[in-house]
Amino acid sequence: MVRRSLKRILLVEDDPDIQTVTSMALGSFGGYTVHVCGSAREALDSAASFKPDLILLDVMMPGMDGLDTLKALREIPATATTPVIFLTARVQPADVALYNELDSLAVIRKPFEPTALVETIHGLWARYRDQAD
Amino acid sequence: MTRLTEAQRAEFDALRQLYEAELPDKLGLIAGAADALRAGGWDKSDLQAFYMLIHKLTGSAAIYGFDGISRAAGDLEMWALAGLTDGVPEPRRVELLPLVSALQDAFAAGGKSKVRRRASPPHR
Repeated sequence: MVRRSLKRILLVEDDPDIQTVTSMALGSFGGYTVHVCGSAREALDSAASFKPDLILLDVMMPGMDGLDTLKALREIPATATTPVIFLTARVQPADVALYNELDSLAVIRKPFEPTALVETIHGLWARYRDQAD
Repeated sequence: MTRLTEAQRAEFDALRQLYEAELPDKLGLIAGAADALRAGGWDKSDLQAFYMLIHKLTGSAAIYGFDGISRAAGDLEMWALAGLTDGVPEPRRVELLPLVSALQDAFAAGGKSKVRRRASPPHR
């Protein structure tokens, strides 16, 4: 089932500097409700209660990385089908193939332009919604 | 690109200034981690810790618009990544300090002058 509007975004990112600027872009510029998690564990603990429409997931994190985090999120009913966008500098073809295998919606390459992030996500969400219709 | 209001632009600029103010501390941590790496006999766990620090700086500096610092950090990141993959043989060990110095130079010379200037979109 595709939700028609994008309102709630779960941001999973371990770097506080990137957390800050990304959540500001999404919240202040984009008007989304953003919940920030600094680790996979935090994300898994809060996913069910936050019920995100979209998850932005860093790949390279200490402990459980983004790929394993996505697999774990898929085991939680509230996020079993929630679209996930990876945020990563690792965008070699082999990396991207792996992200696709995991059924991610897209990859946003780091570094990204904070002021363009909202527009990028708008576009990806529209594509996701259209494909599901 | 998203059109920002004046208030949003000010919010973003303030955040960038905060990041810039913290850069000396970040560079200090990296220099310290490089020292620990050398003093600790090029231990792989020290190298991993060093890599994580520099990886974060590479990404965050570019996102905040400090491209010169990000590029210099990126050179260090590649050096560290190669070390994690192949080890750090003697010829490569001597490359570390010049790369750290280049990062510090990028900050000293380019902390502001190399800031990527973003065009201010029209306010609404």
